[in-house]
Amino acid sequence: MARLLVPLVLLLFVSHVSVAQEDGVEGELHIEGYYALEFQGFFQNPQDSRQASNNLSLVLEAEMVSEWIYDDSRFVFNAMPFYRLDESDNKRTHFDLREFNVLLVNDDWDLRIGTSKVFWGAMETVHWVDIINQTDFVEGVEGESKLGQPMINYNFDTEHGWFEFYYMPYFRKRTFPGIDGRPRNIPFIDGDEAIYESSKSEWHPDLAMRWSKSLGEADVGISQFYGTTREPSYVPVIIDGEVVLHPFYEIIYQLGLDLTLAIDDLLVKCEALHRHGQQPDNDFQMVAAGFENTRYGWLETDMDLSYIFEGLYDSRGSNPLNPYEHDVALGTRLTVNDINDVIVVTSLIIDLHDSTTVFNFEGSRRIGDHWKMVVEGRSFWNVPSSELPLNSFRNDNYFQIGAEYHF
Amino acid sequence: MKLPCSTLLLVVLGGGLNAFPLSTIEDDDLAARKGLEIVTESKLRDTGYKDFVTTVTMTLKNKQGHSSTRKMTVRTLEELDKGEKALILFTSPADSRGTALLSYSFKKEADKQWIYLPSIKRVKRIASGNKTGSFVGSEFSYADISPQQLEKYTYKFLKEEKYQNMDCFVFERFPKEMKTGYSKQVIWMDKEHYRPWKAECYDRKDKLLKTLTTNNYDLYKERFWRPTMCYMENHQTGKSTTIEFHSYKFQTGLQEKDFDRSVLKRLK
Repeated sequence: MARLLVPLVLLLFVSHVSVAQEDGVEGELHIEGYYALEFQGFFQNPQDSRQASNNLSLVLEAEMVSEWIYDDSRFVFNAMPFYRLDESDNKRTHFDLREFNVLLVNDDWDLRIGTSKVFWGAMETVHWVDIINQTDFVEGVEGESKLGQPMINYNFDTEHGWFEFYYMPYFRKRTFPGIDGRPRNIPFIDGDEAIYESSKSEWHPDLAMRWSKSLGEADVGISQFYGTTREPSYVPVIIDGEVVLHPFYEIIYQLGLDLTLAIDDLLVKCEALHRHGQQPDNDFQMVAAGFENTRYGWLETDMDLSYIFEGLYDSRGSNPLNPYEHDVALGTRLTVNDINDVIVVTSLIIDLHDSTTVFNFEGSRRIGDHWKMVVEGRSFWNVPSSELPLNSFRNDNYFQIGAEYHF
Repeated sequence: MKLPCSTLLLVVLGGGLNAFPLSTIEDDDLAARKGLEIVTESKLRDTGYKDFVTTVTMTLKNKQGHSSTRKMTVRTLEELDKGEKALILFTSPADSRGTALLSYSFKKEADKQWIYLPSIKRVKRIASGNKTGSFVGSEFSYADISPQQLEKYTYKFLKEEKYQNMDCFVFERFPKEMKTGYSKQVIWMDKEHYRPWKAECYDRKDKLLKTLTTNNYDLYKERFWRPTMCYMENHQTGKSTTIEFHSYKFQTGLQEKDFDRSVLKRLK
């Protein structure tokens, strides 16, 4: 425990040394971030009696940025350590360098060396094309949190669009909850026991590129990735008479498209990908398409209400890697536009074949200048035992209350 | 975004006015033409600023008198014949620090906007129909804080009258197609420098919704007037928002590439 507390204390120290600055001044180190206390409550008994019930967790994320100009080039150093201390799950207690890189910005190009995070995509309920970073899965089953990816990233701008190139010398394993973790897959996935298709294991050099451009009302991106899949397949192993899954990382090629079309109040969106080299199908496609519409000044109030419809399709059909193989997602986002910036987001993802439903809720409100309350909930309804991988979460309806202090 | 105060109100009457009698003009055509002349002259006087950077404190007050503050840096680029581009970077409150809004205002085409969400490093397109929506909870709408393109409105000159001891033109402005949330705005602009001082904003039922007032103009580069404060009061909800401008720097050398979508990803 003491070992785990050291980084936390260090981070707390750093956060208090910092002086809040209005503007980045050249050469000065600029520190910001937040800490959060989170409580998770579950409504039912776990499927596996070793799994925890209610849970407390402490998070600290700090970001240090320093910037200087030399000979018409701008250099930015960016470090973002992240640390979570979890009451129940020692796998969820983890440290990561979300960012630790130097960025060199020149007129038409920039170069980033170090660990960083990149987002590709257009949709709200799934991010399928997004592939550069590994999912920090212990942070949440929705998979929004990502691990810092070591990379050399070179980007340049031309009149024909924005080109991004990535060389990624080291692969990050997906994080998985420990035996005590909840929600987690059943059977247990032992994330440490990774198996690689490549003989170089996590040192396989991965490559990626993306072209993007804003063409009139459309924003288009086309991306390619060759390397270790971020989304593993699983190999069952019997250990002490119990089935345990070991993640199997294959070498894949992925071609991706993301598209957003802005038509008046409407955003029409699409993400599609083709992936080669991942079993059992070897070749498959995934497509998500839909729209987002916003009512500004909804019902003659100051509030804005967005509603989201997204159709989700996976050519593999029912499979243990993606629960949304023929689903529709319905979502709303209510922006209250009050002084506390209250925002409430809900979504329902419904399987069209067996009506398995995942319900997500998230609400946040600022309190004063530094505090923020965040309430989350997730529910899994009508989950038949055949619905992979959601059947693992059948008893794991939960809510989470978090208090964040931003500095 | 050139701030509302500076822009909304930038419209001023121009040359040709002396030819008209000072009394209320009856003829609609004439009033429309005179209104347009005023705004055109105002725009002309502000043309050539190239770019400017300003830091802004926005204070929101609700009906109960509780307040909350947002701080941001605003960079604006003038693109002759095309329109204007603006990049707003939030510096406070702490949880929204790093959020950025990039907007292109075009003279003719529909405007474009993107928001940058630093927590997930995502650049997200925003539908251009958002003009009526509140800007970060304030009484200013996105339309209010976006650079104003005079081509997107029609005008009607009303009268001349004294406002704070200044001789002012008073005219109405109506959105052509763009949704602004207002059926019309009545604008007071001084005759000497064509600076907007007050704008009454009417809702779709033609009821007075908000009043914008600007204060303490300073002159930059011996040509460009900018206010140091704007105040928007909502008469229907009792809420208000004050914007203070802490510094303006003109002609800092910003270029088109500084307003490309990709800059959002390389701010740090």
